[in-house]
Amino acid sequence: MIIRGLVFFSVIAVLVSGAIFAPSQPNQLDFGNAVGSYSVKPADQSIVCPGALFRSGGSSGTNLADISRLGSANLALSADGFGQIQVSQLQNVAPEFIELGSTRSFYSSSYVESTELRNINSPEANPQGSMVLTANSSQLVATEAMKGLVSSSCQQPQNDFWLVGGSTAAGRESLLILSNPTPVDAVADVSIFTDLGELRVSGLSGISVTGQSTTVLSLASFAPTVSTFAIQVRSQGAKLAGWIQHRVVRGTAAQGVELISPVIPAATELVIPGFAIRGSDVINERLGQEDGFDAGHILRVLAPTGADITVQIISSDPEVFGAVFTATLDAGMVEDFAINELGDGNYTIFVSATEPVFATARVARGNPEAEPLLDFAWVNPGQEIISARAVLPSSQGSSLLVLGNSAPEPRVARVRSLVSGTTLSISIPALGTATFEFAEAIAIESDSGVYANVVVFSEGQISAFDIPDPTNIGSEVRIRFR
Amino acid sequence: MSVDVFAVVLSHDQPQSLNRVLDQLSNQTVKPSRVIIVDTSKKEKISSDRFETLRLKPKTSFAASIEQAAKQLPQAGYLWILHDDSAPELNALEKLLLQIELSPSLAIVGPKQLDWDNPKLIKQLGLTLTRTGRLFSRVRGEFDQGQHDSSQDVMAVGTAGALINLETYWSLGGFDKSAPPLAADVDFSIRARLQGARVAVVPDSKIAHKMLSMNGDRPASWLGGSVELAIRQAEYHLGLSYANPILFVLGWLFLIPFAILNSVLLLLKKRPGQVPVELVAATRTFFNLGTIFSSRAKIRKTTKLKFKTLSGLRATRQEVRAANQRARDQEISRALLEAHERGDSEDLVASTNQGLLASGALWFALGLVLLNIGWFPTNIAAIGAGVIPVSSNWLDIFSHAGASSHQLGLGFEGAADPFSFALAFLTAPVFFQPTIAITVLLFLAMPIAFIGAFKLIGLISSSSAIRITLALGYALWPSMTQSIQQAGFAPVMAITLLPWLLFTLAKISGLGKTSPDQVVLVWSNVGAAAILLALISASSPILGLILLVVILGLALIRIRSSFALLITTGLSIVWFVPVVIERISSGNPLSILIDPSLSVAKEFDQDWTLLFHGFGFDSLAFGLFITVPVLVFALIAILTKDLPASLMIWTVALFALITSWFGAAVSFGFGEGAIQALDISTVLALFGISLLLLVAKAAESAKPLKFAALSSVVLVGLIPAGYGLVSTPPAISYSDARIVPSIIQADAAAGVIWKTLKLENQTDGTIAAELFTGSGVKLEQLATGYKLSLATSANANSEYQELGQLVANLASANGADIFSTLSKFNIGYVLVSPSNRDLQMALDSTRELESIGETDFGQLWKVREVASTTKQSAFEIDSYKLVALGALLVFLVLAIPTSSSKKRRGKESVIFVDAEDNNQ
Repeated sequence: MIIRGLVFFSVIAVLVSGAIFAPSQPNQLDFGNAVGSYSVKPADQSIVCPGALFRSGGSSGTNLADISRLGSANLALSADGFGQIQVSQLQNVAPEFIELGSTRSFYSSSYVESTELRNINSPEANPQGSMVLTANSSQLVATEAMKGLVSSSCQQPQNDFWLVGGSTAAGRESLLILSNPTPVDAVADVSIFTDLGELRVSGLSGISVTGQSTTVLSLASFAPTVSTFAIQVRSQGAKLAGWIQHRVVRGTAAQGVELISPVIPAATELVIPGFAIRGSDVINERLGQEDGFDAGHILRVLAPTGADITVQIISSDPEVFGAVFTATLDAGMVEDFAINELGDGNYTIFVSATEPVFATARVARGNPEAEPLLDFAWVNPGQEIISARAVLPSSQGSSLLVLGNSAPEPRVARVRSLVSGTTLSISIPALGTATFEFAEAIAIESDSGVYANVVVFSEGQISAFDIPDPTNIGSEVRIRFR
Repeated sequence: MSVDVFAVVLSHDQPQSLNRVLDQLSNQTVKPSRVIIVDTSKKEKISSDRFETLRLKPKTSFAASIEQAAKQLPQAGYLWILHDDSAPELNALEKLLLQIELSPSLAIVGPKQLDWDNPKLIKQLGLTLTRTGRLFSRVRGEFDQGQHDSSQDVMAVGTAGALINLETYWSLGGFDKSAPPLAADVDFSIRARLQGARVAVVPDSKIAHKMLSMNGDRPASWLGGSVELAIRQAEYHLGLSYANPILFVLGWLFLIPFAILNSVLLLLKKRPGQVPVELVAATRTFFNLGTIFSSRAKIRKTTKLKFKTLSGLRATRQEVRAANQRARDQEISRALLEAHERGDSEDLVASTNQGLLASGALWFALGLVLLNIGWFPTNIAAIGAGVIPVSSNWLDIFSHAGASSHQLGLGFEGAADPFSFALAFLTAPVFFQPTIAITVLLFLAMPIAFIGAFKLIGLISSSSAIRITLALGYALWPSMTQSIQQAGFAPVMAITLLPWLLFTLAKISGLGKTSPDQVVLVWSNVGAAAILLALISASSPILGLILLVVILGLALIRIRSSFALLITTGLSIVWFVPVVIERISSGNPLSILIDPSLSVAKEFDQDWTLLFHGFGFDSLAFGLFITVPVLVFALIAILTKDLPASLMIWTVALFALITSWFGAAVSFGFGEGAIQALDISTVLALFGISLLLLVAKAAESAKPLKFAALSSVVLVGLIPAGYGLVSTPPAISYSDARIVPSIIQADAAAGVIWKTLKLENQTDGTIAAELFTGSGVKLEQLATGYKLSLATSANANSEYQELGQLVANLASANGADIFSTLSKFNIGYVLVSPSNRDLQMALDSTRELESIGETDFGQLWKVREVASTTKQSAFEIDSYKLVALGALLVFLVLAIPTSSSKKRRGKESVIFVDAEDNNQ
């Protein structure tokens, strides 16, 4: 029994001491690495310009199936780099080629169809961005059914983008324009978000956009008489470029048209420079009339997951106070905030949110002495500029660069002429805005980050476009073999 | 009667026994006329003043020795042959002569041969042949009660003490010098018979025969090998020498095929030790054609009668059967005596264990099936984290077993995992739909493990309650339940088969309660243990390594069974040899321990929770409660009787625990977060079954302990574990065995083969790329060597670099030319699994790809304009595979229980009864 007892306690001792005192040392045997890193050549830089505006209903305006181009637009581009710029209208027209050489190239022409501008045959190490290729499109239209100034920067195709703006209320028309510059077919799914949340209607998915073509849809088919909405476009297959053509007719008078471009991804801090108000008296007068509910300025916001927002509207004139307001947004609902108390001037809107939001602003232009009486522009949030970005003035009217600074301290933006090379420094006050009128290609540079949009005025009409920096990033892709 | 008798005593290095022979010879009641000692001693030459001595070379054969002596003698008279280990009784010669006087036709008479030390025991009373030509001794090992004392004619007599008419001797030309040593005496007697003379045994004449040759106590060179070999060679020689010409030709031509066939039969009869004897004897005989011709010529010269006239003297089947039974009884008796000497007699009890049905255990096994009814197979193939289907064609599975060339990735040359052998073996019975075997085995793992544990615990306890309760404890042990929850087929197999292996090993070693008729080694257990060990080792190499150490330890302490125990490792060694050589030569020996197949290893902490299978205060789980009472009562078992047994089991348990302790810290890194832990759940299963055996031992010792142990195991262990199992069914789904989208499957079925590039966007930002051929990577195709080769050399392999660049370009959709690479690698499909929008966007915009859409297995694209290939036969068979297959078949044949496996014989019995089994 003594031996059994000894053994009993010995076994317990082994178990206990082993469990308590034995060292714990991980021992990993590495056999190598089945993961490799591979450099990826960036895709050719490509941007797509929208082409001329669309007229729905044909010449009579009653044939709903007839949607056709109206007139022609002006295309302006500037390129500096290597290889060639291939200019391809998406209608099986033989492309044109612009040889890039030692000096910056400028090109402008009248065009009708959506057009892809592609930098081809450039070396792998060639940088990309607006300094290499930038372009915009503008059209001043003045038909009975459509009057207004339209300008738009040419955009980089994407698989997933948001368009915030438009209305299908009575007398308002919103056409969704989807252009596919690639030879690969695309299928697009569209989601429409309104002030009541996401619309659940058939026909929004599986929209075919065949290769090198443009598809135009009337959003009223899916969301009739909706004055507030934003849409998301997701495509399978090719990447798409997209716009909403927003036209307003009050009574029988056409009062403005604009192309709404994709906004930047949702963020908690958004800066919308270029909120340029002109003709406040006419606007305010119109606002009081029966059909003038959308004659004024608005800020349209969508918070996909809901958010509390604070909006500050700051004038370039230090003497003008601007406006401040807060609001709470429900998830997935689009809300318009009217901005009616501001006088003429150049403003920047600063949006701070607790959760990422999309936002865009519609700014009206009153024109007491001409037609149309009112025009408007949709101004998108600007991208933060931390490296040089090239921008061309609109070939219609005068172009005003509006700069915004969301920082609590002043910042400096340098504007360099891409023609003469002269550089001008512009100081932007803390949480403020500044403007610069330009008539030739410029590059905007800032070491600390500023925001900018371009507002175009022509014949009492207004338009605006953003200053993108279209880049395909070459990268390192890590592959694990198994 | 007055005749001259010339005694010839053959002496070869046995001076002590020779003295007894000579003493007895000197004191015969009838003395020989002359005595010649023929001395062929090598070491100790005799020096006898009493008798005439003829010294010959040590290598002089028996026949030549007798002839040399006979030449010294007159032509008439009688030759009395004595060996240096055969001492005649004092009246032996007198009785022989008396018989000759009574029957002058007797040319050869032999005495009754008694045991050297025990004159009451008959060793031999004449010789004969069986119907199949095997040498047979009618009487052996019987107590001499006068039951065989009537003089009788026999076919042949042994030469020890044989009295031979010299005229007959010379007329027959003496003994055949061409015949193998043990064929010479029988041959001589038969030739005498065929000449018309008689041969008889005279029971009244007795000699004490030590039978040194037959007991293997003479140098092997004396017989030209082992006793068994000498006998078998003698039998083959006699068979061919006495066959008619046609049978002789056919017999010689088919000698080796016959021996091979006979070897298989020997394996079936669980006598693997005789296989080499059979093959060597046949081969020697085949190539010794000249000696057979010589013997046939000698026979032809003197034969006057037909051989079939001797059929009446042959052994009948009944005699052979009775002899077999006697041999088995003798062997059991001897084993029992040895067990008593070892002190194992307490375990040698008449088995009171009830079977599955009588004990009610079968109902509990069915209960386990019902417990798992929630995941009853609804289709042929089980799919989960640790299991995927095997190929639908069993030949494909077999072709991967032991293969050195694989179609994984861009092709891989290296040793296949031994697990592929296991899969080929397990699926063979359902070759028409192999994947069913995997599904059924996974589903029935618990009841199978339960029955194995039930049998194993029966070696310690006869109580059905103890056996059933603790067997349920094993079936619901956390190792098993967790492995099933994770659908880990390989660990489940190892854990399921473990109690069966331990049971067979215990049987081989004679451990535990054993009924007396089971004390002899049953070779079917050896075969079964070898296969089980190989299956377990292949499924869990770490457990296989531990079991190897346990078996070696067991072989050291159970010397009697050590050979059989070592044999059980044979199949595992054969299966693992290529992997071991490959990994050692590549400097990664520890990679042998990487778990095969799809690893679902649970990571354990290196602390006290390991004792409880990871059970901790922060991780309460119903299934783990059982470890607590089991550990407590296992400790109590030490305080019960039979401490050595408790210590032995605790040694195994602690060894498993310590190994799992170290194993818990081991992981294998394949680069940047790709880490595979060593699966020690199987080792903890060994720890668990050891503890359960100890609990059985504790419960068996006293009724209060039995009540306490069983009730606590049921209440704290089984009920919570059962509830945990029912409430959390395993993550297993069932399918029709398809693991790729239908379109790829259809192409593969039609023989149109493409490679498919499978991409997965991983959480760490990397893209996992897998290339497979045809209908996907099946379970048997998985190879740890492939994983290793990817980790060690993929980044240095230009083709993999090219593939990596292709994937990078595809994922970034940068418009780079990818068609040439897709075409080069014959990639016909790109599959993104699981679906991923980023990759989908990229691939959708790639003009070389055509989107097929969302499938059951992810998003699929078809590559435009890549030509397909046709299916190539991947069936590969080489010398290694043949060896491995041969080894498997040998152990399989050995493992199949046959009725004749019970017919065992003692050593000397084997010598004379072997072949007749063929006729039964």
